[in-house]
Amino acid sequence: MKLRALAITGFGRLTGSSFTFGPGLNIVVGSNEAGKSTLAAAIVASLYGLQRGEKERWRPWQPVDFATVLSYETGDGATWEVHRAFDRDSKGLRVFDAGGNDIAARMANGKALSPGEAHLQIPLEVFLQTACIRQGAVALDGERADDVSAALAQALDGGPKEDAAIGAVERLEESLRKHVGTQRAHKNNPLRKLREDETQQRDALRAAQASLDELGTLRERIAAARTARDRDVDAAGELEQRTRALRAAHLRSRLTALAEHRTELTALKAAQASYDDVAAFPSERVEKLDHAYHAWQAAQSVAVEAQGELDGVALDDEEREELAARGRDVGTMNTALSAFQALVKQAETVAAKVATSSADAALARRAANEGRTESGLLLTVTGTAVLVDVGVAIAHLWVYVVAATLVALFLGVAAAKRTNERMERISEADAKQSVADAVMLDEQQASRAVAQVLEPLGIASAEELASRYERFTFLAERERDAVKAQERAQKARQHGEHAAARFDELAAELVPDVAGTRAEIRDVALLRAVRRRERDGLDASFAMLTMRGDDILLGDDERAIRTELDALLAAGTLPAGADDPSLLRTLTSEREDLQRRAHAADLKMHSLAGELRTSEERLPDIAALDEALAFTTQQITRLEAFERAVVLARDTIDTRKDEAHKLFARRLEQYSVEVLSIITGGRYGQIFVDPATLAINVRIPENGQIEPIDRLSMGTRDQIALVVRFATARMFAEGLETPPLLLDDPFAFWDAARIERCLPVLVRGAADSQTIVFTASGELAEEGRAAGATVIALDEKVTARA
Amino acid sequence: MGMVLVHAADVHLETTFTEVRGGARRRAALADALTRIVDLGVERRADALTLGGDVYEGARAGPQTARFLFEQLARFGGPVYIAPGNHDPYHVHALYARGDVPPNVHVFTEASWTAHEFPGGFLYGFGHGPSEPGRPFAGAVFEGSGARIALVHGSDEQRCPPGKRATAPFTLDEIRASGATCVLTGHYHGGYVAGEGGDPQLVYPGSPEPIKFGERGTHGATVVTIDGGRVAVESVELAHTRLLDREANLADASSEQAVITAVELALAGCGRDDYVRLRLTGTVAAGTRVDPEMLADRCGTQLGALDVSDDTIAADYAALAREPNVRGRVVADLLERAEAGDDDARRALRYAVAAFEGAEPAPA
Repeated sequence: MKLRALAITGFGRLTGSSFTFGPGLNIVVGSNEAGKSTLAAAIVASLYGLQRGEKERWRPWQPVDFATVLSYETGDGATWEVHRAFDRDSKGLRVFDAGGNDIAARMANGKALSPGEAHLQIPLEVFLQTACIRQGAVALDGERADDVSAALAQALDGGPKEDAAIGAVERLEESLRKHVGTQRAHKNNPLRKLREDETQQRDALRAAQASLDELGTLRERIAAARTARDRDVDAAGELEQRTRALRAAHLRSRLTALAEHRTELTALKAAQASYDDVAAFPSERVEKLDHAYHAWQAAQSVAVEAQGELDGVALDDEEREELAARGRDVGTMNTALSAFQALVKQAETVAAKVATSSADAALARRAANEGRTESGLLLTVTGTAVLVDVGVAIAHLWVYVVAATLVALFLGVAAAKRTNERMERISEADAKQSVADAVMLDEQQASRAVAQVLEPLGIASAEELASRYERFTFLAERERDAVKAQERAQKARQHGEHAAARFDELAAELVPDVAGTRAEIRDVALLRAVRRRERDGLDASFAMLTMRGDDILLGDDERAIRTELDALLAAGTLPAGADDPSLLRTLTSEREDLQRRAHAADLKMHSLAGELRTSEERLPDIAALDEALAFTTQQITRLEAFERAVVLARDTIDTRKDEAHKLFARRLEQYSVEVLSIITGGRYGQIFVDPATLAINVRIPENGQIEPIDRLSMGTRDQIALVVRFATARMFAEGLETPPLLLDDPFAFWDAARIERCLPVLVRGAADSQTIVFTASGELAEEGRAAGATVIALDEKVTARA
Repeated sequence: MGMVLVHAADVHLETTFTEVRGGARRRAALADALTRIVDLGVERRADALTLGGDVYEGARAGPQTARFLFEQLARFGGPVYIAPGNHDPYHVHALYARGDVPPNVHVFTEASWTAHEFPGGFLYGFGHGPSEPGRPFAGAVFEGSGARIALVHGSDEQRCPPGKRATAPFTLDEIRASGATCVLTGHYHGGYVAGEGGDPQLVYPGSPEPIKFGERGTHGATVVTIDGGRVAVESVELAHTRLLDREANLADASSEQAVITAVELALAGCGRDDYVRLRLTGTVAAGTRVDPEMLADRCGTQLGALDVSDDTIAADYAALAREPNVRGRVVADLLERAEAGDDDARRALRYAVAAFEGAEPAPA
């Protein structure tokens, strides 16, 4: 794009002014406050319009229309005329093509598109950063040495801030640090804090919900305890009715029993009165009396019996004399009797021997006779066998001869043996008969010896001796029995007397009022003892009856029982049909158990109710907790989304920045070196741009080192700075419409040396793109004019207009 | 004069409000709404009060809620019939199972129909338990003489609002097939009456206060008059709370003050009972500070609550994308992704441009 002319109706201090621009280098010269910056702003405003807040700044100082007309030519040779009426904003824009057609609406295509954007294809901001160089921006003296790099970065990265992409990344990271926090940050870490809060809030919510559930469980337990209590109370109530009915029946039964008891007691007392006479009778001593009586009776009987025995066995006088006589012979008779008894014993032994010997002899003879028969039979058979032997021998039957011979030999031997045995037995029988005969002789001798003993006593036989001795023994025994009977009778009489005395003594104590025989006295005593026992029985019955009364009352009194029964009946209790104390006790026990259980359930219920109240008081506002958690979660989600987006933005910027800076650095080197080499006469042929910082370095020909441009002379730095800015503008225009380069006093001042160094750069740059330099330096204007530049003297125009 | 019922539903005591701040005040407003329902019943001398479920939220309602609810229901004096819904299902830990439920309150505890006779007809009730009850009108037959009023918490399948979970679903055809004269129900927070031939067959009273943004229909209670087997329904608005979505276009705002002015203008007419979600839109001038938190703080003091979301466009992204510099390429990259639906890229675009402008982005 090459600007041709600008007509200003009114724009700031400039009114009614027209400016014509050459295609190459243009130098607008004017003193301070002559309107150089106003003219530059009018060019920009004509292309891009006024930005927000600029309208009042550039409103004409004079009362003229706030308007400009800018004509220019684009790279395709087309010409355009932009009419701006700034008070009408976008509606005050007219863009005419070479044919005079207003194409503003078509160009905008429905958007707020300015002619600058439409034809240069870069927005205002980029235009300002790349094609407009503000006052002093290229002066690399003092503290502003980095301005070239900063301006490059701003142009390359875009945006209104000088720190450009690097600053944008830093701001994004700072924003992450501030609003999200980093993993390393301990204090300021909002996202971590939110997550911790969320965990705490979730825990608190869970605890609260658990508490709410626990309340339900507590209510359930209370309901269960209440149900159990009510059930037990109901059951106890039913049992109470039954026990009251049974109790009433029981009380009624006790009252009936008490009435019966009272009747029995009265009758018993009457019966007891009839025995008052024996009330003090010591019946326990009657037994001794009776014992004494029986002892006396028994002694009497024994005495009578002994006397009778004595009378039966006592010897008369004749018998007493006989006993005396026999007593005198008793020695001899005893001796004779002893001898006789020895003889008899001897005779009995001899007789036994005789009998044995005779029997043995008879046995031996009988055996001898039996042997004779057997021997004869054997001899007969033997003879038969011999005859048979002879017969068969005749018949020459030799075998049979041998057999018959053997039989005959055997039988012959046997017959001989039996005959021999018989002869031995006959000899034995004869010997035994001799012994029997000798014993008979001994018996006869003994009988004769006995007879010699009896003969001096005049006793003829042994039988008589025995009879005499027996008579003596009989009499002696009767004499002894009589003595004994007499002794017994005497002792019995003594016992009887003693017993009688004892009886009499007891009788005098027990029944002193009774006279009569001992039997009569005893009978009276016994009768009284019986009555006393009967009285004792009545006493026992009375005691038992009294005890029964106590059992019926059981510590109560009848009045209390009756009062209780009346109360039960008055309360509508219908007494049970029968008194059943066992059932009453069982039911009472069951009822008491139920009441205890109901009481325990009641206590439990109240305890749980207390627990429930406490828990209810402690229950937090769950909805508020829930809500707080939800908001925290939302905040976390929001911050996480923010973090993702910021990281994405930062990474995208980083990536694009690195990529662009590398690309631009290489190409910037190429563009710059081409121009620099020309204007430095080949001295500086290589420029290096650091992609990270966009710092500019050059190779020093003297030592071959690459050094920052700060190390170079002021003049070289000016040249390099200008070259870089020209190169930047040109690079940005690659593929697009090349914008005019507006340099608003890039150096603070122009002295002869700077003019000499830089003018060639300006001329060289203007060869590529139209360049308008705004300056207060008349020298520069003159030098420029000499170099072929179009010079616009602003003071003259302003003065002329004024 | 026939029988008069006041029917309400979906009070949602102890619910949470996460769309905008001010939950505690809104919960208090819900309690106030229940009070007004009872007041309506008393004023109209209603023969009974029917509640179509979701009276409270079982997950959060505690003893305080129970005391308040039962106190109000007892204050009504007449019979109160409650058909529990999906948020207040009947179970052993439900408030309805407490021992201190007033004697005038009858709760339909079973997920099956139970009949109550009233002068001139029958009231059939169906309650939710802890599990989803299925289709309440499937196979249901109401044969009582006179008006047959069904009380249930469920979903009219033909009019289910977008995003609303259908519970205990039914259709008008099922209602007609059951023989019910009219169904008093709850679940949809925007109230309406449906039927044919001028006879109301399905009555949603709506929640007495709006619960969520975007609920359409009435918010209040209905007065149901039953006379001679016919039913007439009158909707009574009870809501005091408004949930408002407002937009402030900041296209002409070049300063924070202008932004505040635009926001105040957008909020004109809003008061203490209004809970507002304000969306900031438009392309703001570069460098204009838009601070949603400051705006909510400054402009929300006279409102129930104000949440401000910043959906302004910080720049003409398309124009920036054409810039032959790093910013242009960054914007072009992110814009492409954002236009493809990447929300992170949409936000990143905003933050990247702000960072180039020299601003430190803050979470929107």
